[in-house]
Amino acid sequence: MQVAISIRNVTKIYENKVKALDNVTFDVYKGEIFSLLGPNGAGKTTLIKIITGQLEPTSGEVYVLGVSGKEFLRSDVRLRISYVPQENIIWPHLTVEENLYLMGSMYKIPKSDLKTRIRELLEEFELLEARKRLAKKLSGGMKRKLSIAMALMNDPDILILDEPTAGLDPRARASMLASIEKLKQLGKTILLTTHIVEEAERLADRVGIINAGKIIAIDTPDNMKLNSCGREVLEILFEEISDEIWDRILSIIPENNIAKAGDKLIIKQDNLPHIIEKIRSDEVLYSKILALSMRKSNLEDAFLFLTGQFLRGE
Amino acid sequence: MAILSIIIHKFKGAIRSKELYIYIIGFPLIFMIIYGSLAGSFYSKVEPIKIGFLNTDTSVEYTIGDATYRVNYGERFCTFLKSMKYEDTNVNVFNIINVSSREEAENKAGKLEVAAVLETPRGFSGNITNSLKSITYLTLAGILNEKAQEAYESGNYELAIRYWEALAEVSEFTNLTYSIKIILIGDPTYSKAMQVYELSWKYLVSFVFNEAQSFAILYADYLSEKYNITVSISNETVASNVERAFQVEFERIGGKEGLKESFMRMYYAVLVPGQIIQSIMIAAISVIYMVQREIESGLMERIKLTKISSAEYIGGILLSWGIVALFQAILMLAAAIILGYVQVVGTILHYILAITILVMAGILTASFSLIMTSFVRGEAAGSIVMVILLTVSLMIAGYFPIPNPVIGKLFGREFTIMDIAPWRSAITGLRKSLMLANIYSPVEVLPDFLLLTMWTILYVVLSFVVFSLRILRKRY
Repeated sequence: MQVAISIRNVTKIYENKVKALDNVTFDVYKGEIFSLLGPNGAGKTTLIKIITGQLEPTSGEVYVLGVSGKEFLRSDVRLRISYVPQENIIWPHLTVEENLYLMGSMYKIPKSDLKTRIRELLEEFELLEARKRLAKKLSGGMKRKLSIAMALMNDPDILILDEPTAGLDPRARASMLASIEKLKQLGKTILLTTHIVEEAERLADRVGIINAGKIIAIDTPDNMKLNSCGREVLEILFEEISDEIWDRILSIIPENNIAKAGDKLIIKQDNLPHIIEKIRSDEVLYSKILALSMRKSNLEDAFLFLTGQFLRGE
Repeated sequence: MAILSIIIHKFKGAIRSKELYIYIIGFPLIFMIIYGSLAGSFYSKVEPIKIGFLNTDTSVEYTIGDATYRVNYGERFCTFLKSMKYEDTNVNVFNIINVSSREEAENKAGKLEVAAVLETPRGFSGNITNSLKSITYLTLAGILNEKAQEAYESGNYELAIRYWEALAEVSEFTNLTYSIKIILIGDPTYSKAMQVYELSWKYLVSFVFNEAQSFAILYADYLSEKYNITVSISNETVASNVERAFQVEFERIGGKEGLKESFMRMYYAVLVPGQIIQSIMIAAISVIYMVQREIESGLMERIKLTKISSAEYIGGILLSWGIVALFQAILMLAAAIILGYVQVVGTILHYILAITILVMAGILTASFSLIMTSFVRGEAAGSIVMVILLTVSLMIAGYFPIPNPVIGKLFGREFTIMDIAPWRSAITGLRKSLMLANIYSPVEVLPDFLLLTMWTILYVVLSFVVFSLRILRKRY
């Protein structure tokens, strides 16, 4: 597999001594969607800023299509990459069409090709009807789509999306995910950050879990779930997890197989029905349970078992 | 062309923003209307204008018959000015103090101890004397010739010959050259100085008229006695010949308008360009917000990934704001013309100069904004620039007198402390090319234009260097 982005031992310590990234190393392969999954403040945006040349790492090195981060902005490789930050980066007083036109002009796309490209993007992102509307008057979802469409003006090989669905309502989010899937079909390499597990599961070929500036694990979503918590988990909600309850649980399940999130326990075990039976047989324990369910594991569970922390998805 | 696309789209973006209309055009326009409508009440406070008078003229002698007269018209002009009163009042127009040297004159005018200093230069009396003789010839030649024709036709040849002899004597006054010049030392952007300028020309014409009338009557009496003829002249005849002799200068002061009209025009000559340039200066806030928005939203980082060069991006912003400045000025000027504050009196060259000055003022302002944005980030940038520019614009627009010492000369123009604020040359240039086009020729606007060009080039170069290095740098 060809490497599109290579991150090697990157550490970033800000002037206020906060360590945002701690010896991060991984590769993003050409044509894949790589999702960086982590809670807010995990270091995702810092890493993206380092990849796009906005920030200098304290140590380590980043290579984009083989070009080092120091040279990236001055090399032509920068023309093969596009970046969409969390905020909508649009010119609010220009229309949808004008935003695309101006961005295209900045890439010096010939006028004849520019009109065709704009038309394609308007259709691809369902913005054709809104093309004459001022960008500032668009809905949040349409602004986001415009922002991504602008990033695609140069037909980049690599697209970096920082929390692409942040702030969108469910409908706009679904539409955005569909648009990203289309980009994948076009063979684009996409690095996206998110703290929403459903997005990572749906879109990503591989997921990198990042927490407190460290990469905890990298794998495909299925492997990650399988390796960290199995195919299925048991979720038990208690009124309150007292010391007595906790002791009774530990008498049934090894502590390593339990993840605690508030008054909720997630349990991984090979034979979950057998565990349920054991819990039922402990009347005191069973009486304190508000809800109990056995369900398929997800990346949220994987994150919980890997980090001991709850990933606050929406 | 990428730069053209940037110019067009930035211009579109600017004119579609509410801020442009509310803060940048709306407020200055409201102030212009308020101040403009108050102008009449300012005028009602008639009080003497304190001026200095520097007489470097030398006395001349002339003879009429056996009598020899020695006069210093500089002194007489000073006395004449001292006697001038405001219409329908007993209040002197001028409170005149004598000034003994050019240095003292520049010092007093620079410190605004006086509104301006009037100088009657060496040769003033000689030129006045020649003008009086010319006016006398123009006045008497027609009368004497007409009388001679009448006597000849009635058969009184002897009388006709005497008239012709008198005509031959007065014909000595033909082909005399003269150039009546007075010098005004003062700050042309200071409204009172401009008022003095306007009034001094007006009173110079009156003065020459009075002197010409006295001289012509004296000479007519002399000819009557010498040739035993009757020559009577009327005020109207003298006046019409003074007008002929002063044709150019008379037009320069805008015809026969009253003192109040003259005052109002001078007031608007300060107000309108001041407000237009102030509005362009305030547009700096919009430039800052626009660029800050691009920086903070991440647009700038995305722009860095494109093929656009720093020069194209900065050039596009500067030129687009030059056009925005022109757009602002056209709106404000249209309002000023509708309100009657501006008379369309200039030549096409005047207007080309005015347009160029406005575009340059816009570019200058945008350059200043880019420099500020390079050093100060966030909302603080807008607030800091707003305070700086509002203060500076009030100081340089000449709405009220502030000491403005002359510190040197540049491009044949006095360079004052206020000229350190680069927009000042735009205001003075606009005042001359747009509002006082009937007084200043395009050539006389050039020094201000050159100074503005110098400042603009300096600021543009600085903004290119600073903004490229600090914001558009394509490396860590």
